[in-house]
Amino acid sequence: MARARFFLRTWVAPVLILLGLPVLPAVVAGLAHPKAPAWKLPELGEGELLLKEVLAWPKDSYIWVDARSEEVFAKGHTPGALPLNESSWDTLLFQNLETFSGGKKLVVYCDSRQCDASKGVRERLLADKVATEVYILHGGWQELEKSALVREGSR
Amino acid sequence: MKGSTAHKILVWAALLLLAGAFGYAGVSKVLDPSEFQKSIDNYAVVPYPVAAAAALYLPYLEITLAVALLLPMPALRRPAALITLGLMGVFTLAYISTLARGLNIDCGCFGKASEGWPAWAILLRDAVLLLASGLVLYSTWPRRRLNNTSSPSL
Repeated sequence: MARARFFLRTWVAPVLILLGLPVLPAVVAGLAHPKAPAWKLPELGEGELLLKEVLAWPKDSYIWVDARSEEVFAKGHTPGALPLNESSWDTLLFQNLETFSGGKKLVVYCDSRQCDASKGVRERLLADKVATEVYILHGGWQELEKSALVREGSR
Repeated sequence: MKGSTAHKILVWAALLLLAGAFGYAGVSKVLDPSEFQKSIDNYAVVPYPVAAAAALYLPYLEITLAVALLLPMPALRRPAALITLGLMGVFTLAYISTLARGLNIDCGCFGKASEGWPAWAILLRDAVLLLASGLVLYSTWPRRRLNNTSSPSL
């Protein structure tokens, strides 16, 4: 009994107090913070498509564009994907310029549904007039992984 | 050994490092919870609404823990060290899981300040903070006196 009281007094009560103190400011922030998080996923952004929409297109009408770093691309990517990211833009664009500007739709993906790399790549492709139809895969690499549309890259 | 000067200096250094890291992390994320929510969502381990709740709660918890670690009250310092140890364990495991799944994401640990850190640097930082939490917890561990009251060394 003394042991249980000691345990409650020394550990349980103080831990619960510390865990409970942040609840009120968190609730107030949720209600009043100008940058409060959203409780539902945002709607599709500009140029975004769901994976099932892309897969409904004829296979040879689009090209996957991988906006992640070359290192990550080498570890695994969607079959047929070409790497293109903003940090190695000139090199990677030049390597596959004919393919990018060949008239096919380009679908850009990066790591997750919240990463901004694919937006940047899409904007640059459109601004540089490399292609006219450039889309972003909603959900990015995470979505592709779930659909098993991946394979190990060549090592 | 436990009461030696070197040990006390080490423990105080760990305490200040932990309080500083958690305080900074909390403050940097309190300013933009929606950005922190994106970081949590990128881990792809919890549903979107849970990420929202965590994005609101965790920064204030981190600030609370930083304050509790700095207050000269072993009764608060002890559970704060325990919670920081638990949190660092969870954060480290979550980050390792993203690496194992091939996700290349920013850890979101310190808001914008932690963007661009390589994976090895994040893991090293996590290991240091884990050790610091363990050391502070060990130093605040209650020892029973003859009159049945507890007495931590810190």
